Amino acid sequence: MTGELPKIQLLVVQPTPFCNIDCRYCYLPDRSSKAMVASETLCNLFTRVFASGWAREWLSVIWHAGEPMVMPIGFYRDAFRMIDRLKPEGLLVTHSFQTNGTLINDEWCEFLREEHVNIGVSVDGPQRFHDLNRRTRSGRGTFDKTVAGIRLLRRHAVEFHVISVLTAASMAAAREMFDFYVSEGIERVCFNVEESEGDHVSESLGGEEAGEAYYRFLSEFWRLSAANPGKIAFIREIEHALKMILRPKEANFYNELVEPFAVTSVDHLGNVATFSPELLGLKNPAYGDFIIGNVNRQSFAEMAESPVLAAMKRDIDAGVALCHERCEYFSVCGGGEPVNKLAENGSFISAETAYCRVHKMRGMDLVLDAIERLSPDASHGWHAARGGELREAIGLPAAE
Amino acid sequence: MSFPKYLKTLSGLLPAGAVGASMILAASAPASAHEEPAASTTPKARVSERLAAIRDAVSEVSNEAATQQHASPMLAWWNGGFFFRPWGNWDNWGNGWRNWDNWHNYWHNW
Repeated sequence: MTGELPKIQLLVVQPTPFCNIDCRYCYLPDRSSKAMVASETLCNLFTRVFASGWAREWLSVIWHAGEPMVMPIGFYRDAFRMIDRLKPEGLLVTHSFQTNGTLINDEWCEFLREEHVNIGVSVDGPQRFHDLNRRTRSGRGTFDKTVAGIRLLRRHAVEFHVISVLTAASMAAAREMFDFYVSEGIERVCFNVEESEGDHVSESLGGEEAGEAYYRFLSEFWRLSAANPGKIAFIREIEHALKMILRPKEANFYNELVEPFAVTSVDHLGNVATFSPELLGLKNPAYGDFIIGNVNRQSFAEMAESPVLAAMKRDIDAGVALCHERCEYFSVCGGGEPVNKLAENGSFISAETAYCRVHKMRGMDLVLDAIERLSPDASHGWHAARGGELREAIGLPAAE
Repeated sequence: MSFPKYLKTLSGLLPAGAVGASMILAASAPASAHEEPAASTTPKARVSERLAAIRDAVSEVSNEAATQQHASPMLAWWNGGFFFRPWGNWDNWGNGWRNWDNWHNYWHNW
C-alpha cells in the first residue's frame, strides 16, 4: 500500500465464534465452535494495533463474536485493563457489545455500566417476528430471554440501542413495531433488512416491492416517532440519511467499508480481515478466506503488503469506480458494501445490489422526498407557529 | 426543486438542529414512494443533482449562520448543535457498518 497511512476506526473482535443461539439468517459458519481467543493473541492484537500508529485519536472496539456474552465477565475485565495498559496516551478507546441479550444478568449490567460499554441488542420486534428467526438450536424462540435482558438493562440504567432485522412481515407492521419499542422503553433503533450474505440468501430483498415496503415502513415509523415526542429518540436510518444529505459541500466524506483497515476484523485465532466484517469466516476462489495476516505472526504494516489485500483492494476500488460512474446516490454512499456485491453479484467489481436498492436508496429517497414536500414557506412558518413547542420537545431553553 | 427553493427551505429547517429538523421533516414524509410531491408538480431532477443542490444550499446557509452566530442565540446553538466548523476537523461523515451503530460517536459531535 502507498500514500496516506490507514486509520483503524473500528476494531471488530471475535473472542469466540460460538453463539448460544442459532438465528435462521446468521452468516457466521462456525457459530457452533466453542474455541476461545488466547490471552497472548489478544495481547498481540492490541500491541500491534497501537504500535502501527493507525489508531489515532479514538478507536471503537466492538466485541461481536458469535455471542460476546458467552465469554465470562472476567475475560473482559482483564482485557480492558490490558488495553488500558497498552494504549498510547491520548487515544480514546471505547468498547461496545453487539449481543442477542439472552445472557444479560445483574452482574453483566453492573459491569457494562461500570465500564461504560456501549450495548446493541439484536431484537426483531414483537415476539411473532422475533421468534420466527431468532431461535435456539432446538428451535425454540428467544424473545422472552432477549426482552428479559432489555428490561434488566433498563432497570440498571445501562444505555443501549437495538438492531432489528426487518422481514417482509415486519415491514408491513410499522405501528406494531413502534408500539413494541415504546412498550419496552426502547428509545434508539436501527433497522437492517434481511440480506444475502455468505451462504444465506435473503427472502426479503427480492423485487421492486421490497423497496416500496421498506420506504413505507420507514416513513410510517418516522412519522409515528415525531408525532409521539420523547418515545423514540434515534432512528439510525433517518439520522444517517439526514446527516449524509444535509451536509455542507465542504465536509469530508468517505465510505469506511471500502478503505483498507478502517474496519479491521480479528477472529479468535488472531486472523485479520478488513473491509466488510462479514468477510471474516467466508471463502472465495479469488481471495481464499479473505485473511490478510495474523497478529501472532505479523505487524499491521506487513499485513498491508498482503497479496490477498492487494487483490481485494484492486477489485473493490474497481467496484467503487463503477458505483461512481453509474450510481445517482454515490455522493451519499461512497461505493456500497463489498460483502453484498460479492454475495449478490458474484464480484467486488460490480455496482448496485438489492441491498443498495432497498436499504440505502429508499432511505435516502424518503428524506429527499420529505425535504422537497416541505414548502419553503412551511419550513419558516413551522418555526413561527411551533418553534416554542419544538424547543421544549428537544430540551432547549425558551427563545429570548 | 431548484437551488433557491432548497436554500429557502433549508434556511428555515436547519436552525431547528438535528432533532428538530428530523421532527419537522417527518411531518412532510410521504407515506409511499409513489406519492406526488406536495411542494412541486414539476418533474424531479436526477437524484445526484438534487443532492448536490442541497449540499450547496447547506453550505450557503451555514456560512451565513457562521457570520451571524454572535447575533443570535438560536444560530449559536445551531452552529454547535448541528454543524461545526472548520469542516476539515470533521471526519465522521461516512458510511458505517450496519451490524453496528455508533450513535455515541454521532452524538459526541452533535
